[in-house]
Amino acid sequence: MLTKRKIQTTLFLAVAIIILINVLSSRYSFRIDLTEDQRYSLSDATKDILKNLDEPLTVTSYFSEDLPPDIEKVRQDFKDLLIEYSNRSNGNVVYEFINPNEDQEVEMKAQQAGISPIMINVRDKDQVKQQKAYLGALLQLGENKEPIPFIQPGAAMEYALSSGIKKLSAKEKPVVGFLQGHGEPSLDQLIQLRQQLNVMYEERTVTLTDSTNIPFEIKTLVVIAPTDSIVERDFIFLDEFLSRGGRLLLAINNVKGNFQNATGELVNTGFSKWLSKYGITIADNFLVDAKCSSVMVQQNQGMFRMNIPVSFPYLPIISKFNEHPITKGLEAVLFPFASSITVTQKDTSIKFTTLASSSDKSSLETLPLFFDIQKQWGSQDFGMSNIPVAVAVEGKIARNSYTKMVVFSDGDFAVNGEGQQAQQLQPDNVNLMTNAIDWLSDDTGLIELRTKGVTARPLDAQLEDSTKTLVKYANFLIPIGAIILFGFARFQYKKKIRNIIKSTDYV
Amino acid sequence: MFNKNSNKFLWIFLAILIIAVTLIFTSESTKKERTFRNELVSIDTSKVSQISIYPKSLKGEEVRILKVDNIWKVNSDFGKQFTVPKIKVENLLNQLLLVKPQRVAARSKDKWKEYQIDSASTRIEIKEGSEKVLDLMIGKFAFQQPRSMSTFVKLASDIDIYEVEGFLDMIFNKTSNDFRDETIIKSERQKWNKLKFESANSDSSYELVKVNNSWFVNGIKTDSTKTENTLNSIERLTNSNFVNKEKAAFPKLTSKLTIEVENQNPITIFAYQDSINYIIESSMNIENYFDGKTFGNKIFFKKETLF
Repeated sequence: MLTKRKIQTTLFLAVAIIILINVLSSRYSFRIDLTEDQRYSLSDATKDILKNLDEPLTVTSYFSEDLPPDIEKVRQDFKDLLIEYSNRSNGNVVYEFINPNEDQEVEMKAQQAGISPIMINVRDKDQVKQQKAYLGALLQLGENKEPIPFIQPGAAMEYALSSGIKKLSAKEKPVVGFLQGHGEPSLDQLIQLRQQLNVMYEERTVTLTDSTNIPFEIKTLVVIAPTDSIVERDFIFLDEFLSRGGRLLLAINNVKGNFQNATGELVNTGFSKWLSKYGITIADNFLVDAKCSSVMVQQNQGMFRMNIPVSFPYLPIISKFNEHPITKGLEAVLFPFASSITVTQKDTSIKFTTLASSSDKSSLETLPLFFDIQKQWGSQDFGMSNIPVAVAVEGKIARNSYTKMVVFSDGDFAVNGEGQQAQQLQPDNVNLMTNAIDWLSDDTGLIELRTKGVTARPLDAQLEDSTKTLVKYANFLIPIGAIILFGFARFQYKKKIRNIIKSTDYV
Repeated sequence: MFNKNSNKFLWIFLAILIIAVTLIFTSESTKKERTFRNELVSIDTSKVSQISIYPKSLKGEEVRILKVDNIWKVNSDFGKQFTVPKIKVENLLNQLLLVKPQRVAARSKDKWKEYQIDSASTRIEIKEGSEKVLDLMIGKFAFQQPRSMSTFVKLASDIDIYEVEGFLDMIFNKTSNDFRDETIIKSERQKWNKLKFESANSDSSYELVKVNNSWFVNGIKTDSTKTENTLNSIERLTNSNFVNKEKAAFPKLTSKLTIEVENQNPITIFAYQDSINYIIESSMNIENYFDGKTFGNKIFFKKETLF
């Protein structure tokens, strides 16, 4: 029989259990990483970096305390990540957390270490005030240091930490050469690319003269968007470079768009002819793709002149990538004024891989070309598909030396520009170029990590508006509906049981 | 819900949860904000009875500082012990307490040589009674951010090398002479009433007497600025050029200065001089003698300099 005492005991036990479960759940949570790219698990690249760490690495984490919960979470996530790193590295990764707001001397030390404070809004006693906060870390290995000025949540955290470790633990940085002297953008115009390359490589410009060949310490030579004609001597140097096993990356504009007179023009550098002897042809045409970026066009709207974005198929967004280390994890790369690439297999021992190609709705336009901004593009304008715009070649390309070459039919996709023309590039644009240099230089360690992260996955632009709306609502209504359905089914089941118990013939 | 077994089950579940929470919180306490040593030096300065330093400049030779009857003494290379001013020992121990690891620099024996944690290091041993409480090796230093330096150190019993703040070599790589009392004169000039200079050469003997805050020699008032400057220069006088000779081997006494101090014992400075030696003895530091070649004349200034 139920006594009052027993009910009290049961209630006490229930409350105690709930409290303890709450305490435990605040410390530990269970989660399964169901993301396609395993973005919440340590990548193989990180595991490799930590496995090869043969010296202790100290991470001094400068994190402010008593911050809003969403920012405080970054601290806990970073700590969890460090515990994971420490375990994976057999204790070679050690860390400490310091609150720079506690002491002015420590704060100064944090700033001297390269940790930048950020201003955040904190709600205190119904008032919103601004507070200086630190969310950074200093990595120290041997006698070298590498700051992470600001730690971003998510997968970027792992990239920042692992690339920092990789940068510090790299014994000798391979040299990547950038060809200059033919109208190529200077290194200052490749800001984002250099930021990534700086982790693993030493960058150097290469200018060829009668007496200056490509230096022997350069393993990979990068040629980006030359505009002038290349003299025969330089092509001979490139042949020699390949024949001694040098790796070559070519991002060539065979055509360019001139917005001043709205025409397409040929860029005659001589590379097209030179490449054809290696079985690669960049055609003198313009790739147009239904999946494209837009340009801003001034239009009169009543009394006002407004800038309206207009889709411009000459700025294709490439999202079809073949399985290859260079393209791993990439989602979309803007290839302005690209051309088609064709490959002629002359020797079966040489491996050609198409890295990237246009969408299912694309086409090619030949010169002379006039850009008609007002043109209403229809499906009849995109009768082709899968037009290659990037290829990788490996094998005994030149003489008997094994080498590798990557060719892009666009030279501008990784160029920031300079001055007022400078522009921020989409991460994948830079990732594609960096991955290619990594692959050419035989270091694919960071490729997987670089492209790991939360990226935009917009709905296919080709979908009908009604389909888009359906997908959007289904996305958040289905889970809610499933819960309601489950509740309803459970209610019906319990009701049925109650009815059976209530029935007179139930014994 | 309230059947007979339900409470039994709840009790078991609660017990499991309590054990889990206890275990987890115990292990959590070890995973604190830091995964490497927080401190290298853990000593009670009041209990320290012996400090042994093996400075690299002496290539392993010991400099032993011992507490004898509450007075610190340092051994010397000629067998005699000298008193160490308390402040020097306090500074030394306080500097040790400031040695905090900033990071782990190396974790293998192969790296010891690279960080000069070998025969090239300076070693410090601290004893509290007979118990050795610290055995620290000080290796090479490195330049850090502007105006700061760091040093690589290792506990003798440990393998890990840590980087700590500061230029420890400057503090610990010292000989026994560096711990001796360097005081020659340490007094407040305002309390001086009379300076009596006695010399073997009677012409050099004179008295500088203070009357109503003015100084006089043989009844003649001196230049106040020159006198102030001269007295200023000797009111706090230290030197580390010790003469390690017995007094019996000194040349003859040539000069004596007696400073009469208000309400205090007079300070007496002796000068022993020949063609080679110039030895200074002070009543304020009777254990040590100093080579006065560079500063002797500063103490025994001529009366002409005051006019």
